[in-house]
Amino acid sequence: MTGLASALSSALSGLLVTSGQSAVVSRNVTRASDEDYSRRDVGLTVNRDGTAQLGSYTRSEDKTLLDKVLTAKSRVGASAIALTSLEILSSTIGDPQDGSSIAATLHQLQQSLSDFHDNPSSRIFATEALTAARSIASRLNAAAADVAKVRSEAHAEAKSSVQKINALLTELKPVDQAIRSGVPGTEAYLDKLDQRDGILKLLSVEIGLRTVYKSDGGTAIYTDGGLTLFDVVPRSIEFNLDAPIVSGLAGPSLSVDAVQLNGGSPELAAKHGRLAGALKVRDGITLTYEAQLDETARSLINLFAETDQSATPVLAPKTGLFKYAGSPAVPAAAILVPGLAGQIHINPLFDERSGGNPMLLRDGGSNGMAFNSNPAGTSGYQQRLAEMTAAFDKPSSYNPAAQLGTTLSIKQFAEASASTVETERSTASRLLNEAQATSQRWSEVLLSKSGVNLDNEMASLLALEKSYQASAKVMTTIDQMFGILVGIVN
Amino acid sequence: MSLYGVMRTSTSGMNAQSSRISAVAENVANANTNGYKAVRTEFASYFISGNVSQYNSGYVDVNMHRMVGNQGTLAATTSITDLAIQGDGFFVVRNSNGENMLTRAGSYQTNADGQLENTAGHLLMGYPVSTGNGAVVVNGFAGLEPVTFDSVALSAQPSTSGLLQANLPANATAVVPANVPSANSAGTEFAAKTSMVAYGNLGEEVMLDVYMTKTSPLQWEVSVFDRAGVGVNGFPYATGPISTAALSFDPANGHLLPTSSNSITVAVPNGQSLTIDLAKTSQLAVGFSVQDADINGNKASAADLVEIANDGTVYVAFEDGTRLPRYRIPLATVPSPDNLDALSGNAFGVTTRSGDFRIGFSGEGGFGSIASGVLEQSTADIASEFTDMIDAQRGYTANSKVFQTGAELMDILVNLKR
Repeated sequence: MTGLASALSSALSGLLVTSGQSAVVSRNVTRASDEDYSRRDVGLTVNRDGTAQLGSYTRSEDKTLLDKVLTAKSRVGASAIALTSLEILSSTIGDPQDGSSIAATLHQLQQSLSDFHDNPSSRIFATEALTAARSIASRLNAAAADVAKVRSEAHAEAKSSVQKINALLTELKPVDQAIRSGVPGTEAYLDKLDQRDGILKLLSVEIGLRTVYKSDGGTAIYTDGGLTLFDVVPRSIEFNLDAPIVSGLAGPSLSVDAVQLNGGSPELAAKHGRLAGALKVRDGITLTYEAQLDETARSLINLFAETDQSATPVLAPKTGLFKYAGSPAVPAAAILVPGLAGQIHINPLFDERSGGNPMLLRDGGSNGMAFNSNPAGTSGYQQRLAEMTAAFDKPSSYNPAAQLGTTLSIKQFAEASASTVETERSTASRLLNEAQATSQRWSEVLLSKSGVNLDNEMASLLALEKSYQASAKVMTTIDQMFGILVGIVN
Repeated sequence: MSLYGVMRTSTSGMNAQSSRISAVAENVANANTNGYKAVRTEFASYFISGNVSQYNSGYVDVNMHRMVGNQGTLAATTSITDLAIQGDGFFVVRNSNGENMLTRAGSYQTNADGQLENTAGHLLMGYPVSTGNGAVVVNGFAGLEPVTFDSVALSAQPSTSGLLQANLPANATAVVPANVPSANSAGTEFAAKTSMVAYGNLGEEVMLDVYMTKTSPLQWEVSVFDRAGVGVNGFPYATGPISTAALSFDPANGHLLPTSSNSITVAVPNGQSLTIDLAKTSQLAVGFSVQDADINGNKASAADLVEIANDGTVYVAFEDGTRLPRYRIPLATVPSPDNLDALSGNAFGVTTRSGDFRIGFSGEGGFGSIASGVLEQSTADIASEFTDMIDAQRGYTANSKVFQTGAELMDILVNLKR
């Protein structure tokens, strides 16, 4: 093609292309700070006649990097919630060195019993021992309440996470449809890809996932355990029943894509993400810690239990200083009684405030004369106090569910419990730091690959401006030439 | 008498130049008509044989040539139904009388009937993809129908084939026969589960639950259940598995043994028989993961035009995201495009001089390619038309001067007798 009209048309196509390209640059610049936005570029196609036109739009993307970011985000999601819960637990159980910790109050109780033992006739020492006993009971009650609170918060967290996952999956459906039916290379298509990546990023915080990009452009999402979350349509995640959290038992089971995760296939459950973290706190960390508190309380009740003092004992042992819901029966050794730490309290018969007699601590017999080891009322009677003081250091059996070993003394048990929580807390804190560092690092790498670099955009804007000027100049010249031509005709 | 001849010759010259001016006028008027092919004026000399002593001037004969084979400049537009052909070929269109014609004008718009109509009111013709490309009649218009997108009518496609490519965890524990999913008991155990969406005869979504269970080392059972019958706690389902297949793997590489079944045929509830290809299933010592899963078919929904590809394939998209080819737009060509008969509305008719037409597809030998979102502009160039116009004006003036001179000489001749 030759001729002035064709020249004009070429110059016009140059103008159109340049303005199209600057629209892309300006969009890049506008959304430079948007992490979910991937840099756009537009290609040129040259027609047979030499005119140029805007070709397909491309988007800087790296699916492998995106997958890394998604995995890292899930790890952060899981670790963050574990750390928060462990920090609360750690503060309730307290530092073993701190006077207010359970281990320290146990130590105080033993100390005041020992003091009472040295002055068995002194009511003042008896009262002091009782105060120490009361403080440990309330300490255990408070810790049990805190654990229950952390559990129910974790459950609420899991519920909110499930709602968010369902909402995000529902949001993904029209985006996925638009991608599958869309025309690659158009701006609308790329916008949908951005939206999809944004949703995936949010989703990965909630649940660990794996994505499969299909040939028709659609995305299938699976949990990191392999269950289907999204494929053409969202699969639902739901709690089967909104039952209350019962101490000692795992919470309501979760079903993903009609698979009960508490059932026979735990390996299919998600391993990372806020939901997995919350469930681990709800049914793992807190359950173990709750068992430790219950076992501490049970051991304490057993320690202060009263036995039949007859020459030939016929009566079963009964609870003494410490009582619980099952009193006067004594809880069996090494059998976990869920919720015991929340029930433990001082027997009012010992409590001066409610008209009781603290000296029962020395003699026993709160359950009747058969249980009194000092029926003569000797004021210097020390044997029972000596036995009880020594029992604090005597190994006894514990339930394996507490995960602290099965044969150890109550003091060792309480200390081990505190240090386990502390160790887990510091591990969780380290994991979170690592996960955050990894997540940040991958996000930065992804951003540097697919994000907008303002320097580059400005440089290309300058180049586009020059090219626009040149095309415009060509048009002016052609216009003048037409003027000359038309002038000749006159 | 040669003086008369002079006047006749110059008159033919003036006539020729006025034809040329007419062509210029038409070209300039159509300088912005998409798909317009400029007409060019050619002169031919015409002699009268006579005796040598006296010369009788001849005439000039005018031939109008429409340069149909010239490619017009392409200009970008924002509509995907604006089509242009780069290279040889014509779109086949049909006018309101049902006659098929050829055109290069590609500014189509959807009319009230969902057909693609150009500015002259002609309908774009295409082959429906369902009849396949084999139905193309090379030298006839049979099988062509107006490209139509009925956005009101719903269409559904039941699922018939699918694919599931997954890795089954080799280290899973084998399940006793009483507890495999196909036994459909409350104590069912399985190693892996996924779900897929299939479509029934009426385009309804049917969720299929696919359970994968290790029955013994290297032996797996794949069973497909209808999600509609799922129990409160998963198993048992209201009805047993729709279909079950046994897979055996090669201990050497974890792939399916050649003797193993490699697909599962599922009778979709209220639907067709669906064959899911399992040939790429592997059993390796990593966790369960699905690498690819796909089932054809689509939900009942109206189709929207989304893309016209370079090969002329017209794609439609359904509400659920399925994208299908619906029509293929053919191109027609003739041996001598310049001899086509120009009809109103930028259309051309086949004549004996142009040769018979041949139908083929974009990109095939002898055919150009279809571009969407561009229009072919007029081939008339104002600058060259103006040059022609000036030239024609000069030529006309020159011929009129010759006529004038001839007339004056006649005057002298007539005035010889007083």
